[in-house]
Amino acid sequence: MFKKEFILSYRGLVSICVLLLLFLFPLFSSPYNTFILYSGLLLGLAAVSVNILLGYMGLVSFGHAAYFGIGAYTVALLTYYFNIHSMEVLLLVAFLTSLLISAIVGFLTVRHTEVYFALLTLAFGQLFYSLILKFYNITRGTDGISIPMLSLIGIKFNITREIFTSYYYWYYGIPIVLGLLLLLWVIINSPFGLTLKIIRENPSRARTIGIPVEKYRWYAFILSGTITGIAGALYAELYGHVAPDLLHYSLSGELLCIALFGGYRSFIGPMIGGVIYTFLKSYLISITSYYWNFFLGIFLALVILFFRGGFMGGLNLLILSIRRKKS
Amino acid sequence: MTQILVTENLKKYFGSVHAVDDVSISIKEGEIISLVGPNGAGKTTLINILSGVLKPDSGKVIFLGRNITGLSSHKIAKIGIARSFQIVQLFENLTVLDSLRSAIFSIENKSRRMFSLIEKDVHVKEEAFKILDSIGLSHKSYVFVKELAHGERKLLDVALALALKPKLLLLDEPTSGVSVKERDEVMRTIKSIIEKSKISALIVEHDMHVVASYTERVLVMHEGKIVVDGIPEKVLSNEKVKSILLGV
Repeated sequence: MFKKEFILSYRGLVSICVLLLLFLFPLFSSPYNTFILYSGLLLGLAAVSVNILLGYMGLVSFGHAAYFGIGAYTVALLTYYFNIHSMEVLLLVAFLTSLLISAIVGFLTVRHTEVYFALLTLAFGQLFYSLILKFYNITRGTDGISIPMLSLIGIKFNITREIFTSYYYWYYGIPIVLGLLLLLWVIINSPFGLTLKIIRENPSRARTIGIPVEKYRWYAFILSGTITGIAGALYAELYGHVAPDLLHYSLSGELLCIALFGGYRSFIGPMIGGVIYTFLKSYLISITSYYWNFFLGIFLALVILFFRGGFMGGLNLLILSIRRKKS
Repeated sequence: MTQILVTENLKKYFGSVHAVDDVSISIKEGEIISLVGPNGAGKTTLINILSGVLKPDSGKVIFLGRNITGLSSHKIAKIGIARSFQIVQLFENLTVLDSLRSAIFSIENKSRRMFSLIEKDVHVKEEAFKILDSIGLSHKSYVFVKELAHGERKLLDVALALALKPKLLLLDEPTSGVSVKERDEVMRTIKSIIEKSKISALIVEHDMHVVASYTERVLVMHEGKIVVDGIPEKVLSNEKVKSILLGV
């Protein structure tokens, strides 16, 4: 499956260790920690998607919680009203819904950049938040909707939710997360990904070498929104409940923070950011349920102030300095 | 020789400034033409119109018999008019090789490919190295663009245009900011590529030595109009041209 050189390289070794760790994690960890890691990976996947716009296109989206929430609500509404319990069908519909919505919003926003883009995406995000919040008859407003244990590859489960999420749903969902991550990595390193980077660097020059810039921004927006939607759909079943908060702009802000914290110049940075952020948050909540926001804020500010490349930027600097000392 | 580009009565006004005023020129296949004139004569505006960056107020641009007036710049790039910039426009945080590859992917209609890795496309890599060899930058392929010296940046800017395999090349002051010593080397490189690939070029230039040694025909622009059109020896000794260029 892997080439020999890759396995023996430093990156290859790290990836294999991480895969092994993810495979074994539920076996030696508590269900609670498995749950935290799972949500960290899903937030991380959403942050990697947000970072396609942020890091590779230089566009700040303040409305990505909307796609996360739309993915989650697609799962909730379909199980609640149509009694659909197949996770595959739900994921497929969530994929199509977030694709459609991000195509429409993207079409209307990508002609703008910088602050205008950020504010437009924020406005659209809050629009969807309000719709979910106010259409109480359909969405049950702030009460939210509970989601039962769904069937995975046609298998129905009659076990406790804890065992379901930390074993069966883990081994079902994590490969999907990793698969999507690999897909995004390929896309970033494809001719398309290179085109996104030249648009970030110099849009007017990109035009004069034959690139219809707005079209490519639109494609990137759709890609980013759709993957965020799938992450949201997986998240809904992990929590077993959806609420309008999932679409609120504070989650959009959290995703941006995660990307900055993990390192927006690195592909995998936002994923690592998602995991560390979630563990840190749950730890802080456990020791101080009132002030966790305060401490988390200080921590994020310090990392972003002192390591401009975030966690991965800091790590790269560390590796470079060790190598220099050695040589 | 057939005409590759013809403009008919092009006009572009910015308020009361007549940047391009009733310009009708024609460029033949294989011609290397220089466009000279004092600052503010409208040279860059004309280049911007021909490359689709600006739309003219009136008049026509005919390229290979097709009316391309007002066509957007990405479409113009694809049909065979490529340009470089007076102030280099590059992709600072990419490598030299990746910059060129992005242009080649574009012209080969591969920019949309999402599911194949850049590195796997050996053909595009070879093409990029061919161009890098021709401008003498292949030893800098993996260097970030922001780390290049000024002369190298100028050449890369031209190389990005050449990578599009244009039929007409528009160069906006390819030697500006390049030291007098390096100028000849830059121009010799550019000229040999233009001649080898048998394309036409319109070069905006301030250095009269460059105009006289590397171009076959000179257009003198003044206050938005083409006032003189001829071979360098005649045009540059013309008293009227001297007074325009010296501003007296």
